[in-house]
Amino acid sequence: MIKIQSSRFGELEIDENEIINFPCGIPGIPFEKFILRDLIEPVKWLIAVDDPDVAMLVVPPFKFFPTYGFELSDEISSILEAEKEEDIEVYVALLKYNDGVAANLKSPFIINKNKKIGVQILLEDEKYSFKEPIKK
Amino acid sequence: MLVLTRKTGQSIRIGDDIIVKIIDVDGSQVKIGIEAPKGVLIFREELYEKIKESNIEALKASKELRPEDLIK
Repeated sequence: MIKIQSSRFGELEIDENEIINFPCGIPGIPFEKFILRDLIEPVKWLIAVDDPDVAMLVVPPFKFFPTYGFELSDEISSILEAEKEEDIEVYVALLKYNDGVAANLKSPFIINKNKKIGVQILLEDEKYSFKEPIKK
Repeated sequence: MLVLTRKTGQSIRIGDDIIVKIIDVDGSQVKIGIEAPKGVLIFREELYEKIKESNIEALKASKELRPEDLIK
């Protein structure tokens, strides 16, 4: 168990086993180790272990966008060491949108929850945008 | 910036394990093939910048958003 002080979360107790490694990095964020923590169902924090004040809100997209979907390339599956679909969790970052909330559907975070490996991918699909409003 | 002149079919090697090959040139468009090891993600520069901007915006938004608005 690692204990880390952060201004936003106070003292964070992090179990080594919950650390998700992003071996390819996350564009714009100079860290590779993250944890997921529940905020309010279904919203979670994606928190950088080396600097917990670097954190974003994420949600599984399917609840808000039921038709959301994409195929994982062999390359990404191999980075994730994913053998079956059940190993995979998908999250999208939340953004502000006028008075409401939007999600970045264009570049989701794909996580192998068993092996604790994550990758942020980019979807070529034109129908997904970087800022898609979420209807309440 | 290093600038190299290449013909169609010729390649450039970056380090031990990245190969950039000129596949085709058609007017102002160049088709490029890239071989890189697993774990090196390749993006079009302008899209990489957009992912980056969106992530930075998400870090900022996380300080201002009220996630409870989502669950009403």
